[in-house]
Amino acid sequence: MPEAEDPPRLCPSALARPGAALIVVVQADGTVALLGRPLPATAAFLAEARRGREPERRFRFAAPCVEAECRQWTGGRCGVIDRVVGALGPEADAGAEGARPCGIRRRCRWHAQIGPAACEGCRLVITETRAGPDRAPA
Amino acid sequence: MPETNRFVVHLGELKLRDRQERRFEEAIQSAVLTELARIDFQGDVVARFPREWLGIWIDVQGGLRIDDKPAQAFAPRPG
Repeated sequence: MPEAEDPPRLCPSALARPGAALIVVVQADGTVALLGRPLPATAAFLAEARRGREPERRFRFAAPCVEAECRQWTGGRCGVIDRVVGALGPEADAGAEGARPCGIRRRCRWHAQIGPAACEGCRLVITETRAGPDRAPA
Repeated sequence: MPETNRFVVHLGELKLRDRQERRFEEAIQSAVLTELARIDFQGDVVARFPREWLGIWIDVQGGLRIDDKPAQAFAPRPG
């Protein structure tokens, strides 16, 4: 009997596409609220969400990590969370103990890569797909 | 314990068949998703006020950018 393959790791900052899971709502202070349980980003949800501003500005989605097919993949790992946690410095480690309940942690690419410190960085990340008129200057 | 929003539908003694129960679950989830889709706390707009901005943006098409530099540009000018 063949061994069951492990399910793919999940990117916690994927694009809003059918098949993705809704995992986060961006709050007024710019941090993110984890949903207790991922919800399917159904076609109906995406259609409704696209009536407003870009869904990626207001939510975060999880989807299977595509590894080398993603521009953020660097040297066999996700470059995003490395840079995020690097920017946070010791603050990431300090907050790691209080990681909140998360519906994808067991399969999360970021958590698998660097452990609980990823959770502290995660709460500050918002995905955006392109520059908008109300975006801060570079 | 952080505040949470939890909604419970209690149907008392009503006994639903499995298929009916699934349809209720799907209907409830659909309603929740519809309302979630309408949520916009404008949280990303705090990027305009970098002193309060703690967020980090991932530009999927253009690479990671950490918005701490604009803080200088937005800081109040002395005098």
